[in-house]
Amino acid sequence: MTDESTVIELKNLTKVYQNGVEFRALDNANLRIEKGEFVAIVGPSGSGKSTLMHLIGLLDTPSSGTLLIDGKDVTKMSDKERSGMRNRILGFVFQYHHLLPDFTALENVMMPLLIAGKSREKAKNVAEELLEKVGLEGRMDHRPGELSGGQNQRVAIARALSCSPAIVLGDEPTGNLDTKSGDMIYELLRQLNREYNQTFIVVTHNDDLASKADKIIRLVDGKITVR
Amino acid sequence: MYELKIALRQVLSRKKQTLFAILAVALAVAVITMMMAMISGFQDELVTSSIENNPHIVISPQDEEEEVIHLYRYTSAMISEKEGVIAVSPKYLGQAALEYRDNAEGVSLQGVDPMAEESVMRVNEDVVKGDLMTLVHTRYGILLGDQLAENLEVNVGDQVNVVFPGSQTTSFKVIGLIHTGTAADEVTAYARLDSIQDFFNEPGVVSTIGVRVADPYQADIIAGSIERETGLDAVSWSEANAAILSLLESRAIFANIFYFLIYGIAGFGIANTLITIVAQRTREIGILKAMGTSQKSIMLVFLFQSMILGAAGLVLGTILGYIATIALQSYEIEIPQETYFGLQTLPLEVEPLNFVYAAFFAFIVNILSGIYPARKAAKLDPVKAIESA
Repeated sequence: MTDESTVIELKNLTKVYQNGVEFRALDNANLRIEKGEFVAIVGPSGSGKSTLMHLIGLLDTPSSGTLLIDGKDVTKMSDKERSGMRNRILGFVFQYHHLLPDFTALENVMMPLLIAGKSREKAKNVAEELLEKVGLEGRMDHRPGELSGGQNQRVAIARALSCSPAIVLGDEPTGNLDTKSGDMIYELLRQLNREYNQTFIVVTHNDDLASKADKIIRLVDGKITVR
Repeated sequence: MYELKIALRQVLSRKKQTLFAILAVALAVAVITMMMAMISGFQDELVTSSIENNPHIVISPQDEEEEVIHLYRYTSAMISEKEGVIAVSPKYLGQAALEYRDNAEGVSLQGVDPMAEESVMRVNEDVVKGDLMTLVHTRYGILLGDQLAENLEVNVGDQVNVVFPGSQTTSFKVIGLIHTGTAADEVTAYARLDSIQDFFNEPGVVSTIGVRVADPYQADIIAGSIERETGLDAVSWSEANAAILSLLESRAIFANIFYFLIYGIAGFGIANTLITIVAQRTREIGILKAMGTSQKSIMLVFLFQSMILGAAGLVLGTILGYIATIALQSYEIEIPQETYFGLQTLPLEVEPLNFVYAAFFAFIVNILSGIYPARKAAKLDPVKAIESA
């Protein structure tokens, strides 16, 4: 019944944290995201935005409900299968760039490809191409400590895209940047989305940016409102 | 192998931490190799002196009342046919007095076949003047311990009289001097077996038969089979030195406990370093997981790190241990004689196998101590890891 164009499907997805008190971070969420969509997730802090991202990103497991990614039920997968999916189908951009500090920009972008088992040669070619695309052709051999916040975030985007993931997840990817760099990064994401027809899901606090998305998902107290 | 690459980078980026972890392993390995050099040096020294200064097997009459071995030629021939036996030397032992001018000394006379005795005991190594082989063509020749000769004030070439009640006093020509460095030099005299048998009027019998075997560690087994076949009493060198050998064995147990503790300490050092690294790298671990690194690969990253630290440590440690052992060897530490069975300096033996053992166990300990931190890293919750500051 899942049609071809649906890339993510949530059915009654619930995440409950039991930290003394029961906290329903995500409450019976139902959602369908199509291939190539640019989706913005908005909502006040504590509304479950990050929980939703982590569940879709296979970094966390739901308490109940099902989550289909690419038509596959990911809730029952082993660690190996889940890490394989994270590697091949998902790309992450975090609020902070989270690059590996001991590796150069190029090596950071190559890393997911090496994890995927690609040859160094292949990984290097792809990484160089992506770094050029994000405008860092002259900074490939710099380590994160030698780059600005905006530059590092662009490296992080290149890294997220390196395995040509079907889904790119951004957890406030522009949250730590000044408005100008933030807008630039956002434009870059939008442009890549159009170019590669990848699905983008971005958590943001910025209504301005959210308004440019194809779909806005508003979360309040763990419940979804699609607009 | 991106896991190895990450491991290398992480190790190299923390130079001081890495250095200290490596030094901990290196010191442990160095101390252990030195200890091993001392213990095996000591053991070798004792075993060598037991093996070299005594026949590997001594055969004597079994019956308490029987003092001599009859038909020794047949028995000797039979024993020398046995597998693993290199040489057999029948020997007549008797007490007598030696007289030279006004001096007289009691001696332990050893009547031997020079060729056979040389093959079993390597007597010639201790002969300082003359040659044991001269006995072959000197019917009434005698070799004396150098202390004995000094006490009698005789020299090579002098004639001494051998005196024993009931025997005819016989004159022997001193043809050599022996120095073993032990008390035996004051009482030992070697002469030809036939001369001594004649002197004591005991032709055709000997007191003991000494046996040399190819592998001294087979001596027990060979002694057992000689006993069964000849009905005589056969005692191997290890049986004769059982007390010392069991002392060595109990020392080895204590040494092993000591090694175990040292390795434990080094292992905790490595584990501690890795736990610190895991704590410092928590967020990176989370990111690696987000990029699709499996738990197994995360574990590998940290096991590789402990292996790298361990390998560097054991290489450095064996080098340090080797240098220190060589240095100690050339320094020749003096030890009180009465404490250590007459050894004058601390014997150190550079045994390559010891280094292999020390390094091998160090490596095992390293891997073991890497497992806990590596598992801890692998099991980290990626969300919490990424959000940790």
